[in-house]
Amino acid sequence: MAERLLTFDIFRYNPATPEIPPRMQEFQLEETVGMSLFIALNRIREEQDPSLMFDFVCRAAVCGSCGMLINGRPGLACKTLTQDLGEKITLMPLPVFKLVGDLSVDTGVWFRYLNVRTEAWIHTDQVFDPKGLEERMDNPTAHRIYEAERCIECGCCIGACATANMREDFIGAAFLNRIARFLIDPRDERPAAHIFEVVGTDEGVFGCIGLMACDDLCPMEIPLQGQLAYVRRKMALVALRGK
Amino acid sequence: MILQKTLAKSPRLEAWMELLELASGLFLLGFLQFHLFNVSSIILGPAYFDHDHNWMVYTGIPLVVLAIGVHGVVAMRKAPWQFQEARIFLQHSKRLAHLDTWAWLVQIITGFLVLILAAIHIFSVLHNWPIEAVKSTARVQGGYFSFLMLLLLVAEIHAMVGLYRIMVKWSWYKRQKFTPYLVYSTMFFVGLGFITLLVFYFRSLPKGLS
Amino acid sequence: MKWSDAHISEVLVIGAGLAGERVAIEAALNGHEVTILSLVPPRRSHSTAAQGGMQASLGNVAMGYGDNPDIHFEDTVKGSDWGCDQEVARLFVELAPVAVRQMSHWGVPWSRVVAGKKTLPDGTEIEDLAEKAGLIAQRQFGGTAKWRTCFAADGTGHVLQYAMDSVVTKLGVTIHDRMEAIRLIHNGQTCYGAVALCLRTGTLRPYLAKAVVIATGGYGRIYGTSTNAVINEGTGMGLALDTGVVPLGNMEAVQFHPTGIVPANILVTEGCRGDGGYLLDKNLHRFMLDYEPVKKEVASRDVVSRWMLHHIHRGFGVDSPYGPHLWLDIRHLGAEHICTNLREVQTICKNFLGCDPTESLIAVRPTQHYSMGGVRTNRDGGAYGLKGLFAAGEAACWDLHGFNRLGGNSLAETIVAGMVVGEKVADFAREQSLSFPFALVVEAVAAQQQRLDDLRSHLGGSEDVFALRRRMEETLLDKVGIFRTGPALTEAVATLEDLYQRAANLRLRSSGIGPNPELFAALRLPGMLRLALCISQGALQRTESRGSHYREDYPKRDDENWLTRTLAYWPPGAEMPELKYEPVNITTLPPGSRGYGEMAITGD
Ligand SMILES: Cc1cc2nc3c(=O)[nH]c(=O)nc-3n(C[C@H](O)[C@H](O)[C@H](O)COP(=O)(O)OP(=O)(O)OC[C@H]3O[C@@H](n4cnc5c(N)ncnc54)[C@H](O)[C@@H]3O)c2cc1C
Ligand code: HEM
Ligand code: FES
Repeated sequence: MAERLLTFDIFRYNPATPEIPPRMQEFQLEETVGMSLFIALNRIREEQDPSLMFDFVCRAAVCGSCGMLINGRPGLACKTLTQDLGEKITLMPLPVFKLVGDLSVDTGVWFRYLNVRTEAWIHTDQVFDPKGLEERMDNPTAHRIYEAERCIECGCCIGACATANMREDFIGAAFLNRIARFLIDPRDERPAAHIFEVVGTDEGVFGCIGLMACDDLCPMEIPLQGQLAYVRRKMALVALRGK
Repeated sequence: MILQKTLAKSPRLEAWMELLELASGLFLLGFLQFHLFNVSSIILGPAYFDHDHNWMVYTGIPLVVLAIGVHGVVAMRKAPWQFQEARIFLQHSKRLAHLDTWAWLVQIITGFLVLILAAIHIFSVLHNWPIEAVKSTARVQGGYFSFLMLLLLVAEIHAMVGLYRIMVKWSWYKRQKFTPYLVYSTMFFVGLGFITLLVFYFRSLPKGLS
Repeated sequence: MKWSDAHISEVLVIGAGLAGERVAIEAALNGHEVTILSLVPPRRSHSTAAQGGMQASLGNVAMGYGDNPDIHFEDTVKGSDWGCDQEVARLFVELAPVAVRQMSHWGVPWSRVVAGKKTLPDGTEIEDLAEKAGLIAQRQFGGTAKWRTCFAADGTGHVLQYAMDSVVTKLGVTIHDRMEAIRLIHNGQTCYGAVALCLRTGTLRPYLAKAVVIATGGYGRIYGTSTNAVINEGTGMGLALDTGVVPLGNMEAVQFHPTGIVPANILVTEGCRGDGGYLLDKNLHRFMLDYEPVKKEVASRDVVSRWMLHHIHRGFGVDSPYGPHLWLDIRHLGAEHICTNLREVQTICKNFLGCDPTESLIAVRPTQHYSMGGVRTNRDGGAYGLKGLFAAGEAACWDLHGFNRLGGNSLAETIVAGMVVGEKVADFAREQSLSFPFALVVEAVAAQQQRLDDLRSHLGGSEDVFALRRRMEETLLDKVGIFRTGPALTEAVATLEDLYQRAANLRLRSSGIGPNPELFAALRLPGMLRLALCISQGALQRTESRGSHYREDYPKRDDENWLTRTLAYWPPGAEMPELKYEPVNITTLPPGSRGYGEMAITGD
């Protein structure tokens, strides 16, 4: 492989110094074999500008911390290899979320707020019996729940969604998928009508116009098209039944 | 709770809007293709074209006008009406360079065009009532060819992208699976329409009508 | 500082991983007002990275029939090389099944038993009975007599953390993320809270509470190459050590996981070997058969890691630009198995190695993975030396793991300890009244503010944060790794001591204003070096081999002199840790043979 000199065009803004307006800044770096954006950004920080802000935690594409716009498209920086990109790489923070600084955004607060709003926990009247056996479930059902539960709340689907970009209240694919997870789970005793209040609206599933950028760009490759359609059908049924 | 929002909230209104969008879209889609098949009967000859179908026309046209009205309102309710929204949408689409996202803009623009073109089309047909092969031929040859070609393209693209969107939003199938079929059908319908127009264009007219 | 700046609650939990959140839930269920601090949103804690599973003796699957807490106990004690506290281990094995089932109640989609006949990769026929169908499924992990590891496909830690956090959300527990505790507020007897640094703004805030719990996970990142998340820098253990009165236990016990991928150092789960994967050398020879004819690839981690490195040292490693490695082979498990139960492994290989494990071999090498050591606590999770301070999870030395943790015992520990310690914390907080010595709080905040100001004013010396840090990482990796010797450890201690002194003269290259990563790194470095010194000094002094602590110059376990736990203190102003020792609590299982790892490593 020919040695390449990569040019990174990186969004910069530090809320602590509002007098310096948001801008793009260029950095150059020699590419190494197998270089990921995790390695590249850390090298830029250590060798060129130690004030550069970005977030990584697991650096293995399982925690969802490092979502950003890579050449305009949301993706996980830790699993993006520079060899798959051109010589010029543009990095910007995810839209929709509040900026912490440079490439770092506050996904945590956003997701927590929506977890509360959609009451994303198991609702049950059953009381746990420490002495009893676990309740049984068939393995395919467990797998279907798991399929939805794999979401790592990285926010890529939200950043990729035109509706979420335009409308603040929209709960986005991440939460429609989470709702699907609870609709599938037999342990959640919530009637669909209860869920309808939050989800059967334009802030919920009917706000989705089906542009499928979420489905195309989900780093976990969750089948979002199917999950969203499932929720949409369920919610439409509730509306039709009038209950 | 925020007073004005809570009072304005109607529990199922938004769901109904969506279902109305679905129904009106499907109805118009059905109509469009049905209409195209009917018109294309000219390929087989004027006898096939001119058979009695008044009952259909008399109920169909008002229905279609109504459906376009309803569909226009509900389908347009999510368009980026505000200037700021429109800018956000455009910048977002450019950054993302994502075909499905651009397709929405196509949908809005073609929707508008259909509204205008279809209005002209319906008006011109009603103006010269009833529908007959001769009259249609005269229209096509009298300068409407490119207009109808444009309407055909715009309406088919709008309808088939719309169908794609409906399948994406409601169906059980993965879009990667059905997209090719939709592309083929679009090509088929546009091709059929094109041939129909050509037939009209090259049909010889009885003297005095040209 | 004004009183109104302080955040007051009854229980302050530092760390929002599984352990921290479980403690918080227990305290909240007992009616306390709880606040959790975390470096990152809870669902990004490192617990989510655990793929393999969680041990509990349910005995649901064919290869686990007849399992019970006694057998789990025995495995755990043997695994620990008799270094664990047997009373704690007993408590743990009894509660682990309850923990697993409660997590199911809270929504974890555990994989379930499917009845029917199956053939294992080695040809053994087994049958899962219909009466067990639908119960929680279990897989094999290293160092266990029965198949005991409960799992949810390939993302056990992830689903556990999400379910746990959903309960925390439901209970309305206050969470302040991007808040790093940087100093405990205490008077030498009682702990009153912590000074925290806001990672959004770079400002300080005191958090006061009746009870403070450290649940901050491991310190893997001081080793540089580690399977741990980049936030695992041991700052939580540092909090306790810095008090001068709370000791860290067994810091020299550092676990290396056999299968970190090369070069990304990302872990592929023990499930690979548990499910029947092989380790191969450069001749594609399955060398573990030679060293461990009985347990083969599924001996405990310390043993497998040691044999792997030994085999590499003998010249059987595969050469690569990133140093020699070995191969992990799971191809024979079949695409279907890999795509469901080991999908995460497949994804990791695809993303970070560009290969598909259904068709190709995976380059692996032992990599720093887990810290058995931590804040030394009693059975109730109360830290030694300071009233009102507790610890749980990987950050604690509750002492379930002794000198080697079994795979799958750590997730189980976080939750079981969370239950046990949470209850004790709740009891403690109930008895305690809410009162704080104002002067102490002001003083603690002022001292930290001074550190920030000093760094921001660039008055210090000329040392670069990242350069010192890199040096520390290299030193630990080279000299305090899997094979340890007296001379290398002596050198390591000397280097680290020097680095520690130089770390007093850091100078920032950037302004340090706002959420500045260089500033944060500079604040953490001295604490990390103190931990590094505790590890190295502890390893140097312990002249025996036990579990993961392997001294080439003392290759035998020495129960006569070293059936002890190391306690490292850091007296205020000291340059080096002060080591003390306490006896290990043996109740029912006297030291004996582990049944693996016996064959002496010879230097051929
Ligand atoms: C790759 C990998 C795979 C693993 N797989 C398994 C497995 O299959 N089975 C198993 O049993 N174990 C496994 N383990 C081990 C297990 O995951 C961990 O030991 C366990 O999750 C630790 O949980 P914890 O709650 O103690 O800490 P963590 O989950 O690490 O959480 C620590 C929390 O503390 C916070 N924190 C840290 N410092 C501060 C501070 N100064 N101020 C405020 N907050 C702070 C962090 O933000 C975080 O929320 C694995 C470990 C790794 C690295
Ligand atoms: C021949 C006539 C028409 C047909 C066959 C047709 C068909 C469709 C279909 C099937 C959809 C998808 C519906 C959905 O996503 O639920 C759609 C969407 C749309 N239509 Fe039409 N339509 C026609 C006329 C119009 C007209 C006249 C307008 C404008 C006034 C219009 C504007 C739109 C818009 C903006 C959308 C996108 C809605 C969205 O995705 O949110 N259409 N159309
Ligand atoms: S750092 Fe965890 S997903 Fe990228």
